[in-house]
Amino acid sequence: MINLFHVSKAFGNDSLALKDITLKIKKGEFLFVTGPSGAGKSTLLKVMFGAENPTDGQIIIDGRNYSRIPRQEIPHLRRSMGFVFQDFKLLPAKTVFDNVAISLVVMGVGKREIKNRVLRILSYLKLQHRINFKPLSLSGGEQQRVAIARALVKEPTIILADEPTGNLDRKLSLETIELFRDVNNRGTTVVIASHDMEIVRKFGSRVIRLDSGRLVS
Amino acid sequence: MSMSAKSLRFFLSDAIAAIRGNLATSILTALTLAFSLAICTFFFIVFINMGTLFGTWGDNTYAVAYIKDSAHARDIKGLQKQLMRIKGVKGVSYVSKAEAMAELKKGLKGHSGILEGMDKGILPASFEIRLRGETMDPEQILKVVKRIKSLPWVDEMQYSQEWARKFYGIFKFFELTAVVIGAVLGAAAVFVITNTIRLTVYARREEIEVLRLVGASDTFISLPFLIEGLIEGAVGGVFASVLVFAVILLLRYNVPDYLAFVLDMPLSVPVIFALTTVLGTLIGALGSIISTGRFLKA
Ligand SMILES: Nc1ncnc2c1ncn2[C@@H]1O[C@H](COP(=O)(O)OP(=O)(O)OP(=O)(O)O)[C@@H](O)[C@H]1O
Ligand SMILES: [Mg+2]
Repeated sequence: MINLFHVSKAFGNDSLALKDITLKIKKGEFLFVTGPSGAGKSTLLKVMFGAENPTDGQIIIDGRNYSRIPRQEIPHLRRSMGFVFQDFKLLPAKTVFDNVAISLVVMGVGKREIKNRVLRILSYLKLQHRINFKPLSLSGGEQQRVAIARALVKEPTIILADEPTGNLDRKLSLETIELFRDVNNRGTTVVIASHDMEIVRKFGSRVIRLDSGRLVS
Repeated sequence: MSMSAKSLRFFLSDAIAAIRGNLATSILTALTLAFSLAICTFFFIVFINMGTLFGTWGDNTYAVAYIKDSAHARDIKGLQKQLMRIKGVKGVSYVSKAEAMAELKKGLKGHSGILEGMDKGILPASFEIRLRGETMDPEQILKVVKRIKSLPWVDEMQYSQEWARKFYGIFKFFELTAVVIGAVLGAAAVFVITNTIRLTVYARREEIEVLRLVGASDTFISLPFLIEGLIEGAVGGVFASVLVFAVILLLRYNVPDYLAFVLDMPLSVPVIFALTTVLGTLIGALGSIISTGRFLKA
């Protein structure tokens, strides 16, 4: 499903954020990426998503090589992938509902279906009372769940989640990972970057570890 | 991508929010566009009226074909038909021998005594041929004249190439000036819109980035900006026509009579209004497409 061959990433002329990473993730896998802060977890997820271009190496998603995909087809690829950003990247001027709906709006999904799906995922994530709020009037944990809802609502074939429980308390964290597991059980490939070792140990079927941009296990 | 009602609402509300959030800039853009467009339209009206004037001057491009004395009425009729069929000939009028003499007498005023006792048929009959001086260059006219000269029953031609040359030169210069001024002002208007929309695009770059990350196509991202440009352009166009009408009304009472013709409306008021509005809208759209296109490619 996701194949990386000798992928390296440099920002400017600093040392490498990713060093020669070769990695195979199968369809339907549930994978944790761990490692200390600054190890390159976010960068790894971003190159898988095509949000950052690797300096070196090849990335093949679902049989398609990023470096050979024409620019105008990137949006189509992204619609089949859900990404939960570490810094959420919500639209501050839009309501919670619209922030989640945007995932489906860009795909051209019908109005009624959008409403159904958005309301369902928001109630899953216990956000139904925040539908008409703007992101900045929400707590960090609530914003994080909006970001998760936006990634899940499109029922993607791949989910890349960057510290999706970073702002959640224990109980919510466990529930959220359960949610990802549910999605995974229905066939979605899930990659989660996390340094929460308790969660990783509890749920991890496969764990990879990064250190200073290198794959260590 | 199918554009559902939902996404249309998204675009419209985005565009309106952008204009509201940037009200001062948006109004300034619309006004600047209005001024450039108003100047354009004003020049357009003046130029059209001058062009009409030149058109009447163009009527003065004419040639005289003298008819052989031996021609009968039937031959003359045939010749007239042939003349009318020549491309570049606007009109033909027949001047009989008698009329030619009468003309000459009139020209001589009090001195017509000179003509006493002269044969009334001494002057030849002729065709006065009006040529399309405003659409043909002097060379083409010369060709037409030669063609006429070669027709049967035509004796001599009288034609002033000097006039055609001068007239054509002035007309071409005038046309060129109109095109250059129009192009410069049009480009200025597009430039202004392009810049304002670039500012909006820049102010919303983070939002654009997020839209891209959730899989929005370039079209989807550009649409709110396009709508913003359309609205600003349309408002600018409406302002422009209001400005033009106001200026024309104001000038009409302060301009000497012999110049008043330049302020005539070449088209009806609603048509001019519609034209400036449509033109403003198009310029708005063009400016928006240029600036978002540049941003998205980067
Ligand atoms: N946009 C960027 N520009 C410059 N350097 C960057 C950029 N993004 C990441 N880096 C650098 O790349 C390295 C890896 O960063 P990354 O965000 O991938 O770490 P991480 O493992 O996600 O850390 P954390 O656990 O704190 O989120 C860091 O040294 C960081 O400074
Ligand atoms: Mg990170």
